[in-house]
This record gives sequence, C-alpha cells and structure tokens, in this order.
Amino acid sequence: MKNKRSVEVRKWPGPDDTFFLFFHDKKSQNNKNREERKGGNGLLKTGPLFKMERMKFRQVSLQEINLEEKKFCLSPLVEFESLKASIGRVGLLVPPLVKPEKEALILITGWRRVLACKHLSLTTIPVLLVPEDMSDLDLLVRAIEENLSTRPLSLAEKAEAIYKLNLFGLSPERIMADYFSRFALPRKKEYFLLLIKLAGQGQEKLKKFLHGTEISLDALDLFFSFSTLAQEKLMPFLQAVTYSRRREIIENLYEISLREGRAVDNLLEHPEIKSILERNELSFRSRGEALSDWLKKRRYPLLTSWEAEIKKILKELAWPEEVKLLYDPTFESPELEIFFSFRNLPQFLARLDELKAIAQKPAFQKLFRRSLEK
Amino acid sequence: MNNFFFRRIFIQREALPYPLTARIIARTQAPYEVINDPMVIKEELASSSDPIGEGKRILYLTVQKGKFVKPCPCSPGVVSCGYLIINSALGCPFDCSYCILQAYLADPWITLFVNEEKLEKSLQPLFKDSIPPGLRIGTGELSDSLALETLTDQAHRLSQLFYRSSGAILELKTKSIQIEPWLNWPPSPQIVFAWSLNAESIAREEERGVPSVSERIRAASLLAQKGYNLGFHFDPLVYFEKWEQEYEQVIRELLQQIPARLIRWISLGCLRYPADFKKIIFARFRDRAIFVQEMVPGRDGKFRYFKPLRLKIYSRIYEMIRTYGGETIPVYLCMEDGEVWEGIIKKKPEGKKDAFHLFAPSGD
Repeated sequence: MKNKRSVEVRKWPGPDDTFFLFFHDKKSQNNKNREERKGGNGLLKTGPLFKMERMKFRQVSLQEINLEEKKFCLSPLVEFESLKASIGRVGLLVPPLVKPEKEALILITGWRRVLACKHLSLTTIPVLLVPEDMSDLDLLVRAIEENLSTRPLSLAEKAEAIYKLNLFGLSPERIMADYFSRFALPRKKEYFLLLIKLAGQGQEKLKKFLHGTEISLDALDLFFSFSTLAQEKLMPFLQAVTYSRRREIIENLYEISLREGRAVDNLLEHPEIKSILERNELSFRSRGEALSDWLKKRRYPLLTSWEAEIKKILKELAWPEEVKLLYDPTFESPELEIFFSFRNLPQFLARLDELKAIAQKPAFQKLFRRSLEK
Repeated sequence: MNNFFFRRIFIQREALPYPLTARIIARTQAPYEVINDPMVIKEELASSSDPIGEGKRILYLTVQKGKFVKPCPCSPGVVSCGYLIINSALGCPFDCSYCILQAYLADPWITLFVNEEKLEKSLQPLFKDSIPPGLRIGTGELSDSLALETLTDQAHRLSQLFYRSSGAILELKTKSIQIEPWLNWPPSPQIVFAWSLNAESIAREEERGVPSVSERIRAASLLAQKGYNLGFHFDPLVYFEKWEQEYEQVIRELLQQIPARLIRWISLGCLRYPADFKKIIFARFRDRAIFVQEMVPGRDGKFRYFKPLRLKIYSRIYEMIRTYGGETIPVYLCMEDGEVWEGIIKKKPEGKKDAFHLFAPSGD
C-alpha cells in the first residue's frame, strides 16, 4: 500500500501566533494498529514519525514537574542563560515533553527550557504530555532525536545516551548500528564499552569536562585510566589548550608513565611539572602549553636534545639569520639544505664567501653528526 | 600447537570441491559453515571487543582469484632485497604484540587459499634456469610458513616443488617448531628454513602462543644436523633496558648450536610500525612498554627508533654476530635506507641483482 502522509497546521493556543505541524502517517498508523492487534511486541511501539496525535497539550504548573528524576536527561550540565533571555523576550515557543509518573510529571525533553522558565519566575508553562504507556526506551529515543535535531551532542551526552539506550533494553549491536554514525563515532565495540564505562563510572567532574571539551576517543580512553586526582588536576589545563595539544599531553603523560614505570600521579608530582602548573600568574592555556612542551621533551629526549644541539651549533657559528638551514626534523635524512636570496652577483658571491668562512670553523663539522657518540 | 586450534571454520562455497578443503575438514574438529560472502564473518566479529584476537581462531577457506606470487612490499626510500611473497595464506595464529599484520591485513581472520593447483602453476616460472641465483620466495611474510602445517601440508608440498629446482630459493619462515616431516629428507640448497628470533624476555612477553626462543633454536639445530640451510631473522629488534645482554645471550646460543656455514642469511630490522598501528596497540596491548620508546616518523611514514639509536643497535648486533659467528654469515637489513646499510654492512646492494648475490648458494 502506498504510504500516505498528511500534514495539518494548527494554531498554537498560546499568547502569540505560533503554529506548529501535526504529521499523520497513514502507513505507520496502520502498522501500529496491526502491532497493537497482535499484542504489540516491538521495542519501539510507535513508527518512525512523531505521533503528535497521541500526545496531549496542557498548561501545567512548574511545581508539578519533578526535576529530580533525570532518567531522560542526557546532559551533565544544563546551561540555560541564553535561552532564558530568549524566553524573556518572546515566550516559550516549543513545549517540553513530559510524562505523568507517580502523581508528578517527569521531563523527557526540555531541561533548559524548564530551568529557564523557573529562573524567570514563570508559574505555568505549556507542555506536551506523552501517553503513560510509552516505554522508557521509546521516550529516550524521542529525547535523543529532539536533541540531535537541534544541536550536536557533546561526548558526555553521547555516552549518556548510549548508556541509557543500553539500560532501557537496546542491544549494543543495535546501538552501534543505529546511533554510532549519527553520533559521529567509529562503529567499534571498544568505543561502545568505553562510553558505557564513562557514563556508568565516570565522575561528575569528568562528565562536565567532556561536556565542554572535545577529545578523541583514544585520548579519552587513556585519560580515563588516570586516577581521579590526576584527571581533576589536568582538566583546567586540558580545557584551555587546543585539541591536538590536549591529545599530546594525555598521550605523552601515559607513555612516559609506562616507559618509566611510574604512575601518572607520581609524574605530576615531578618538581618541574609542579612548578609549571603552580605558576598562577600565567593563564591555564600558557601553563597547559608549557606542560605540553615539557612532556614532549621528556617523551623524546634524544630528538629534543639534537634539536637543541643544532641551535647551539648555529649560535656558535654565528650563522647569518638571512640564510635558512633546513634539516629533517626527525634526523632520518642526513641531508641539509640552505636557502638564501640575493639580488645580484656581488650579493651572491658575498654570501658564498661568508658561508665558506663559516664552513672553515671546527663547529661546522658538528652539523653532520649522525651517531649517538659525540 | 595442536591441529584443532580454530574455534570456527568458514568455507566459501566455491572452495568446497578442492582437496585442501577436504583435508582440513578431515583434520580439524572445529565446526564449519559454508558461506557465500565473508561479510558474515565480519559481522560476527563486529561485536567482539578484540576482533583481531578473536579472528586468530577463525579460519576462512577460499579461492585465490588474484596473483599468488607478488613482490614483497618495500617502503619507499629503503634498500630492497628483491624478495617474493607467496600469497597462499593471510594471517597468523600466533599473537605477537608487534606484528604488523594486525594493521596490514584488511581482515582479522586467517584466510587460506585452497586452489593449490593454481598456486603450483604460478610458481613454475621460478624454476627456470634463467632465474637469478639468490632470488628468494616465501610464505612467511603474510602468515607463518609452518604454524598451520599439520592442517594444510602446504610447506611440505611447496618443498617438493622446490626440492630439485635450480631456480628460486624457498624460504620457510616461522616461529613454529613443526619440522618433523623434513627430518627424513636430505637437504636441498633451494630450501631454507628460517626462524624469527628475539631476546628471551621480549619473546616471553610479546609473542603469545609461540614456542620459546630456545625451542626454536633447538628445532633449527635438528635441521642443521641433517645439513639443511638455515636463515634467522632478528626482526623486530627491540630497544629495552637489557637489550645488549639479552640479544648477546641469544646470538651466542644460536651460533654455538648452528654452524655458520649452514646459515644462509641473518636479517636485522628494528621495531617499526605505521602511524595507525598505535591505535591497535593501545587497544590490544596497552601496557607494553616496548611501544613507548623514542620512535619518530620516517620518510615512509613508519615510526622507527631515532636513527642514531638504530645505528647503535644495529652496530652492536652486527658486532655480536661477527664475534660469535665469524665473518662469513651474510647479514642484511630489512627496510632500512642506504645510510644505515653503509654505516653497518659497509656496502649496500645496488639494485635487486646485487641483492640476490647476498643470498645465492655458495659457489654461485
């Protein structure tokens, strides 16, 4: 049967002239009826389209809403200041989704909206009341859909969504198949397990950190292996540096700790690290970058010492600033290149004479060092 | 290792009528399933938290439709040894933390190509007199040459082909010790058994399910007593606290037990890996300190020890080989550039023909 969809426009029964659309999906309605006749065994009782016709619009007192019940809340930190200003200007445009439960109403979506309204001292708000028989999984799916349609989810929210989908009965395979690409996550079981662990066992501070800070899953995996103390100590610095520095800091800390056989906590007690992190006169960003540089030096001692040696040699040779000496930054290739510009023959010859004089100095030979032995 | 290592066997429908398929079914007790598409295996492994580890217990029998013989993929900028690879199996049942196949192979399970006749036909050009002496070919690059032998007889069949040929040399490169079938054969200069060796502590900690280094040397020694030609690969050489003592110990043990005249080559290669390999390591072998030494990306994108450190390692190992084995054992470097060759071996092969001279049977 050909699927037929009709759209109905209704006036919003609020103070302004807001309209919204009701979708009627005949095919999914038929499927639903068939499911219901069979006794209904699907996890998701409703079809792919939002069943507005099963929801009831109500004006409710804000006191009726139980904000303690957070089973559909995905965000560890609900920021509503910008929304508060908007509602203050034009009123609440989209009613939150609520479900009657134990003589109260619990929020499915609209945490920011409800909190903003509370702070604006509103007493009643419009809500959409979902049927009591809708399963938690059904409702969570709607909460996720609504969030995804308005903004990208943070890593903490993705973890929470995955954790709750699993908690409410969806299998890991279904979660990975249906949600990972929509969450821009690689479809790998190890990442599923990591995010479940984060939502289930992660400290609130860590979740809030991951709500506001982007981090690769591999770096998160390592970071999660650090002690809570180490995590908390690092958070403000990691938050302040760039994405790639953040990854470098975590990886280098982990790898140094593994190589030196000492815990990350112990490494963070190193006097040089402590002196970097405790320089309160500097911004978190500056200290984060200094930490990153220190770790790089510790992680790659030979490479950094050779880089320093080249700089020292060039200084010793009084190398002209106008001549660039290029070398392989990993010292894999023995080749050196020089680059300089000139405008005429005399300039060119003068530069060659200058370089020839430099080449006569004993320190020049040190540029060709290829062995660890000096 | 026993014959019935595999948890499951998948057989592509097309592979069913081949004798090798029948042999494997008869020899293993693992349940098998006939499939049309290996996607079934992929889906099964998708839910595993360690698809690579799990894949080592799955055998997939299929038909090789591409080329059985291919040149060994060498990195750009490094000195090539002109090796040829027989693509008869992909994947290895041993689980070595440093194994590059974890990143190199597209599928984590072990694939065995059962169309032996096509394989044998594709080897025929290598038996011609015009083949340069010293041209080597082997099954041990994308798999272990002997680990699955009790199931497949493949090395045995290949040995028979190369036995009396005067062309290419067959290298059976392994960490296994399954050498019994050859103990009753007279040796052939066209067949070289080669073992990958490492420092004892590295082998113990990083090579899961693999016979110990001493067992490998013992197996080599049994073949040496029969007069077989042998090769050894110290690859990957790993830099760790006691690297000098431990490598010296194994090199001394090896060269005390195996006469230098029977050693056709020893290869050296420091630990290296492509950039995306680190993700696999972190997922599978997170606590392994060998991967967190000072390694930097080279011109081919692979991570290697800082070059001056590599030069030091190679130089010491080369010195040890010369101390305990004399000056005649051919030593070569794997995936290193001309600078390292010249620094260690003092000369580098200029092209493939020159490289073949290194490996040619004595007298050629």
